Amino acid sequence: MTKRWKIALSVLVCFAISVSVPGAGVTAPKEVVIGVISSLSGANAPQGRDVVDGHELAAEIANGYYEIDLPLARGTGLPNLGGAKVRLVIADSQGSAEVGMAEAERLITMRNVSAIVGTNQSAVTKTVSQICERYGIPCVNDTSTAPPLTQRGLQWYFRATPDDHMFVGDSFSWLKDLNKAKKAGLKTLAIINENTEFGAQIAEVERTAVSTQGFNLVADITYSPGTADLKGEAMRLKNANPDVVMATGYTSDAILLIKTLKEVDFAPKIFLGHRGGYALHEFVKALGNDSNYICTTGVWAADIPETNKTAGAINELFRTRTGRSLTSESSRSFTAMLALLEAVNRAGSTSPDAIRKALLATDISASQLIIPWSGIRYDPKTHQNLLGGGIVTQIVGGEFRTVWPFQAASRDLVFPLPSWSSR
Amino acid sequence: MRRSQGTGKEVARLNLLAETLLGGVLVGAIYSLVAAGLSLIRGVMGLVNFAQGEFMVLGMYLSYWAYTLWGVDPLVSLLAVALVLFAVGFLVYQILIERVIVGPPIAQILATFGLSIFLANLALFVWGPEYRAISGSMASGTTTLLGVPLSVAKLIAGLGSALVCALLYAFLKYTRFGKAVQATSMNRTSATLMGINTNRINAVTFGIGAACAGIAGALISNFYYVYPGVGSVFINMAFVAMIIGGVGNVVGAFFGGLIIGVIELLASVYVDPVLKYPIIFGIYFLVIFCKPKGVFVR
Repeated sequence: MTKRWKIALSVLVCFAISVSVPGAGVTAPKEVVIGVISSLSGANAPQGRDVVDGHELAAEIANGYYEIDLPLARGTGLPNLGGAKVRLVIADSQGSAEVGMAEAERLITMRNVSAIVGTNQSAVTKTVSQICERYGIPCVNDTSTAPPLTQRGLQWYFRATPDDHMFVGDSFSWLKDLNKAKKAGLKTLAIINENTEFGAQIAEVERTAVSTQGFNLVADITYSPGTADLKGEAMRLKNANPDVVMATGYTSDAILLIKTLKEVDFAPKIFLGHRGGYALHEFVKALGNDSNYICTTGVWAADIPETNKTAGAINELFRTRTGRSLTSESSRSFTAMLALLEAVNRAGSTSPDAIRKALLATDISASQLIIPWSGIRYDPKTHQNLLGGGIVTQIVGGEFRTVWPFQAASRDLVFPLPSWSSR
Repeated sequence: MRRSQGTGKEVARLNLLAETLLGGVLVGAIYSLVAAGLSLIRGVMGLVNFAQGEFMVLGMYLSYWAYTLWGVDPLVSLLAVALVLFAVGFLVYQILIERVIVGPPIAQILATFGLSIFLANLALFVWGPEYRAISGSMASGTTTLLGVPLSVAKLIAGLGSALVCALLYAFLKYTRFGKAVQATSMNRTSATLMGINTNRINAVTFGIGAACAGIAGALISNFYYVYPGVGSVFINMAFVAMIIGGVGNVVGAFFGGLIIGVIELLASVYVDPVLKYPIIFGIYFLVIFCKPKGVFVR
């Protein structure tokens, strides 16, 4: 046998072994590519940026080594995929459902992402999740809360955040607790919301809840987002003079509404925003002292690190990266992304089907989270996280502080909202 | 007793109406100023400036930074902002508009539309997607006018816009240059034959239009948030005001803005806030169909 034949035979033998031994010859992927869709331009850019900052920190936690009690923190990369690193491909939805849909298609067909995480707007999530469904790619939703999103029977859509039923339910529990424990005497309520999927769905849940919870709805106002002037809306609120105003809107409208309420000199006993613009640092920064005493539902407050050391460590890392503290938006996006990466690692594969199966088997405990949820476990049918939870915060001195549940509150609620002239 | 209760309700109703009308006039005056610049440019050179909203944003940022970095109040920096925006408008005309003004209308539309996208994204790149606001400036706090509570900043902005519109009208009506602008607007060829440098008229007009938007931006920076995308919020209203007032008619644009502002607030307070834009754009279509040259043109 000549030398040439010996080499050829050796190669043949090696090939035969590689195809006959299971697993041999199949190399673990060097990276896991995850698509992220968020609004990085347009009126919702601050919220979109905040959400993406949360995603990026979660990927960094998975890729680097951190002495933190979180999934994938102690180790580099995803161990079950041979230490494969996570690479995020970030796309801008521009706040548009159509653009979000096109970007989802591009990420799946051209960037070969294993899963998509997003979006920060319910209307955009609605279309993005449909594209993921068509291509059979897992879509993990971080911050969209419109209830119908999980009622469409989608197989590939998973939602980590609690929905509006829970957040609105929390709001009414809080108001009733205030009436009971603090004799607040809250009876009348007004709803003001923008009319995209986000605001419309919350208002719908609120309308149903008002009558069953024993409150009297005295004003129900809907407006188009990005409006030039909210004076008429503010005057309607003043005229109705409710004890409580429940507001839903993105950043620009949230800032404009508070400025206009000051102009018409109306301060209800309680002003409660439902996350969105009301839960962002930009809201506080733009309004300064006028943002004080505004309340919002959410999952993050400046006092959470005082009781959750892991949350404190992540908040410090987030501050180093962005110069800002976490918010209800970025803490939820961080959590949703880390839960997805934990599932990818358990799947041990970048195959969408394996990831989907792993997502269905997700069971993360409360101690492994930075936000006050009881854990993450997706409903086998709707794929809604069954263990989410929420808090109510009040802005005091430019910081979001927990005021409900009472046992978690770091300070008493400033009640009623001081009049504008007395500030 | 019953009578005094009835009178009280009547007074409250009248107060609400007064507040609505006054509030509408003040916000309408802002639309008027943006629309006046838009209308002037359209009338003189037949060009629709889609970047008018972005010029307004530039005015807002100049005021904001002058206040934040050097403590110069927006009302003090107003003239400087107007001059800078005039220069920006003049240069934009020389660099971009002059090249497309003789081309097909689609080229003009694409040029100003592209400029609008470019400026909005440039603002997003340079200043970031952060909402900013001026607080504690000279025009802060509230006052009462005819028993109606009003924001001082909005009152100054409304009066300031009306004053600038009046000055613009006087400039066009009584100055030699203004008459040349009007002549160009009426018949470009004849104006050229009369020895008017129509290209220079165009450049100055574009500068004045940009300055109007800049002044509007500076005035509203006292009470509005400052953000790269805020121009698009006002430009739609300015377009409607221009159409109602009649294209090229500065006085018409002024009253068009006031009408829009008042209807917007009346619809919000007395009909339904969600219907205010359908009502406004319904009126816009009505004007297009019934009086395409504007309601103030005989």
